[in-house]
Amino acid sequence: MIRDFLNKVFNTEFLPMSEVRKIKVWLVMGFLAILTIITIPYSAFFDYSLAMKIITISVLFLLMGFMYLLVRIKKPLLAIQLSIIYSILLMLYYTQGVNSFYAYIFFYISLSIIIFYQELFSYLVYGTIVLVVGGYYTVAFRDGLVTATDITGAAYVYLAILILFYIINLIHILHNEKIYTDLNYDWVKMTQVIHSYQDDILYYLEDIRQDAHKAPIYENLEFQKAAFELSEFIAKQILKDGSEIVNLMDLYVYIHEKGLNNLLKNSEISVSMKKISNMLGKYLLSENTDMFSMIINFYIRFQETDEYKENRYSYQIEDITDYKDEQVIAFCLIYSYLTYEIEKDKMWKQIERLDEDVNIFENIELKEFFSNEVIAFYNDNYEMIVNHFSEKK
Amino acid sequence: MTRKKTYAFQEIEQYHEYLEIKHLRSKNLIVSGVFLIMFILTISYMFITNYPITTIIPLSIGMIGLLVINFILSAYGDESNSYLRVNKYMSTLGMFTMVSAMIIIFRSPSLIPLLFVAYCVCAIYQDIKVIIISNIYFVAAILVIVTTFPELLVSINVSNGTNFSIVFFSMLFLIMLSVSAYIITKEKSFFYNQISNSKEIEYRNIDLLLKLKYKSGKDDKNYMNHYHNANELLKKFSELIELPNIFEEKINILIDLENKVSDEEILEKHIDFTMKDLDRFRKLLISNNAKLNRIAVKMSNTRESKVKKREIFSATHFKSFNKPSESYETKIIAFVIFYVALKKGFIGIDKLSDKDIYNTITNTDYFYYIDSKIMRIYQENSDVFDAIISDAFSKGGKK
Repeated sequence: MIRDFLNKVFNTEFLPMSEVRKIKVWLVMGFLAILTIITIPYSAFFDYSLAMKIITISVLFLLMGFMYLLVRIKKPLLAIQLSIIYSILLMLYYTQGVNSFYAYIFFYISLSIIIFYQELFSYLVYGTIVLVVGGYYTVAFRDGLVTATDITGAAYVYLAILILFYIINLIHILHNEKIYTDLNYDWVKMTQVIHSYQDDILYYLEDIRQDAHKAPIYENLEFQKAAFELSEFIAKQILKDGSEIVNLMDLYVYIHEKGLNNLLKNSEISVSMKKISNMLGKYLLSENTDMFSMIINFYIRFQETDEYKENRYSYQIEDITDYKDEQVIAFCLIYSYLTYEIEKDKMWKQIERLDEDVNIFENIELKEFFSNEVIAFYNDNYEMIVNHFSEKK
Repeated sequence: MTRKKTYAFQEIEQYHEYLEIKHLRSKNLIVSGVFLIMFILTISYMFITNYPITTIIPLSIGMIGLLVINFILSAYGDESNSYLRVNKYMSTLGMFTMVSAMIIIFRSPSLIPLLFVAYCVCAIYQDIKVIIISNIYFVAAILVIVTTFPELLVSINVSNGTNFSIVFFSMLFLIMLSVSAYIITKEKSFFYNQISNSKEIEYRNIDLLLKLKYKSGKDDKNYMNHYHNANELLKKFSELIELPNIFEEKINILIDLENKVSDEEILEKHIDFTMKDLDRFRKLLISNNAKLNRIAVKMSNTRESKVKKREIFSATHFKSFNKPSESYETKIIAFVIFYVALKKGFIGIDKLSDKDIYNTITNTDYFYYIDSKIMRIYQENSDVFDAIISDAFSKGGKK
């Protein structure tokens, strides 16, 4: 189990945010557990009564148990909040128990735990609380921190450094938020475009299959036999009653026969079965689902491809040619291509807006593809271009 | 420990590097900005508290020197990325050196937390090597303080604990900072890898799409019309602006290239053009998987996408068979269907070998898309899996 966990920690770059969040909670819990255990002998130096010390440590351990429970029942967000509160409580325990550098270090420890989660809202709320308490503590209990031979205004140096630490981390979080939001936007956009390619890929694959007069893969008996036997083999080693999986596999094949939407609309089918069907819907082979996408993305790994060149992922005409007249020709060719594609879609997919004129560049950021001069050419001659291609339809 | 996994596409490394460099510039700027603020605060404090000028000058020279080096290396970063990389290591070393110098000059425990600040500033780079350098410097600085300047710690040890406690708490804090910086760096890598991976997936999906389009006979048979349409439009445009038509000759060359006219023949007809021009024109063809053809395909498919704000913050675009919200039954079925479909293959796509399937599932990012228990069963029983497949498929899988 520990080996698996460490393996996950060392390979965090492959895991989605939800998984990383869980890893973070476990790590913080481990760290807090060590701190709490150390606090037991260290409490001897604290000014509290013995009863107070016992109660505090017991409450901390109870909270730790509660945190563990929250992670186990898959409530990591609550566990995150609780772990932050826990670190603040531990910090308060130190600040009220001793007047020293150790208490001061705990402001940094609490801030570091909050920063670790990289969540702006949590940092602004809890981080600011820690900063305010830290500021108050540093000024109000300066006698415990500063000695007679210390530099002038040492208490304010302590305070300034704490504020600097808070601000730097705030900038770090804001910078990360900005980068990740932009990257996420790009990622979602690309996922949508790839989904659109795979719509076409599925369409062409279906066409090729039908031309070959072959049954779909999910209707193939060899495929079904292998899938049933393998799922039973795995299920028997993981689940209590492994043979149950066969019924689910039956349902999976049945969804392909009847269609997911028809099944969900059928009032005779139980709610739980609809729920399972919906879950399995992501893995159908008859549609452009997550399953289809992952299979295609696996296949393309083995496809022959050009050698990597610097502008491999650039779709900018300027990267093909610097000549403006050639860029304008390229623009016109693309415009003609898109007009043809839209007309084809109207015919094949029987789009409702058959007679409506659609915007050729709908949802397209022209700057991603064309230079400013070409965009200016399009804007300045918009009517002429639209009219010319309308006549050509 | 299982060996390190890699991403399925080797090409993504270059784009990952591009993203690193792109964001390194803004990180450099933040680090320099913070250092400048620290410089202003320190020098202001020294002037206010009447420190001798002989102390202020060396410290100022050190700090200004670091800022100048940072500025020069950032400027040269436009010439070569290696300057930017050197800059982050120089800044890390410089930051810790200046902080250590300040602790030694001021001889006050109040400045020890500046080590934490320096660590956090350098953590902005989100780089494993920077973390290692920071850790070494941090440990060294604490040990030097404890062994060489014990008087600094006397004041903070009056009521309780020993030097050991200070070192112990500092090290504990350092571990927390290191783990935090390490995981945050890995999170960044996750995003960079996903973006790079998606770029390569997109590139190869366009390849496959064009290949299948041709194979299914659905390719654009009237692509020559696009040249005629463009030619007529640009003729109108030239008449409108009352200038000679500079486009026609180039369009004619494109048409010749589409018609597979030999290069020599084209160059004979169009004497002002060279072989280099023809190579460029080949990329401007609207058919035949040319660069322009790929751009047109991308634009055509981009038309159908529209990102909603809430989608940016959801994780639904991450595809895997290992979603925590799903039951084991669903995870098993998802993996089995994926595996058997790969083994069986699709009509229209080349079949994959057993070895390729096994290696890719177990040694690349696909490893993490599958539940760990299921993966372990697969790895430990791959021969059983093969036997079941061979038995089910009358002809057996491709070996």
